Amino acid sequence: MPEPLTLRFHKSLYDGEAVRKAAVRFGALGTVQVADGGGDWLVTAVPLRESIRERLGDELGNHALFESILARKGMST
Amino acid sequence: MTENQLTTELAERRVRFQVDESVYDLDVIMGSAYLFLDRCYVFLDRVGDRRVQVVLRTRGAASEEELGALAGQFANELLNQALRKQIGEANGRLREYIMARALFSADGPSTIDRLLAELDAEEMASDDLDIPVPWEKPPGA
Repeated sequence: MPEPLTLRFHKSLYDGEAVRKAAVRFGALGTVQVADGGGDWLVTAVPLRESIRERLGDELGNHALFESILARKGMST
Repeated sequence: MTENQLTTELAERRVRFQVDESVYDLDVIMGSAYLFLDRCYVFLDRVGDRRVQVVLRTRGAASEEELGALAGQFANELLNQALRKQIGEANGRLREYIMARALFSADGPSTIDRLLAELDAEEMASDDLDIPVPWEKPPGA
């Protein structure tokens, strides 16, 4: 079973709803969970295959940032 | 960024640097990051009070020169976004000023005053009752 991947998104930079949207979007590629880690949103992802582990983290991070920027501009998807 | 130059840390497919929020505010940093999302993976982190760390990770292999150039382009975009924001704010104030001048111009009568004057003039010109007044009689009539 692939090792879990943990991503940390600082709350002053990433919107909580945006991170959750990203988690839902990439949920098809593994088990993705979001937790409140105090100053950060903690995302734990277990990819379906080890080969997509790195890519899953990268793409999820980009998507969380994209949604956060839209949320800052009041333009949520 | 410190000492007037971009201080970067390079690793495989990754370049990392910090941005001072007292120089470039968060909207500027976010605006720049947005433009890089389709070129590479962008991660932001807060590493101190008013300091944001930017990590750019390329989608494929990249040389040190390419990573350095990517960071440089991001720094240029920060400047570009800051300038755009400044111009937008300045133009916003100018727009407000022009609107205020148009609505509350002190150079002449307002639209309402002009319309009232036109109505008064029309009423004076057409006296439907045709009431004779002595001061309008021609002398000797």
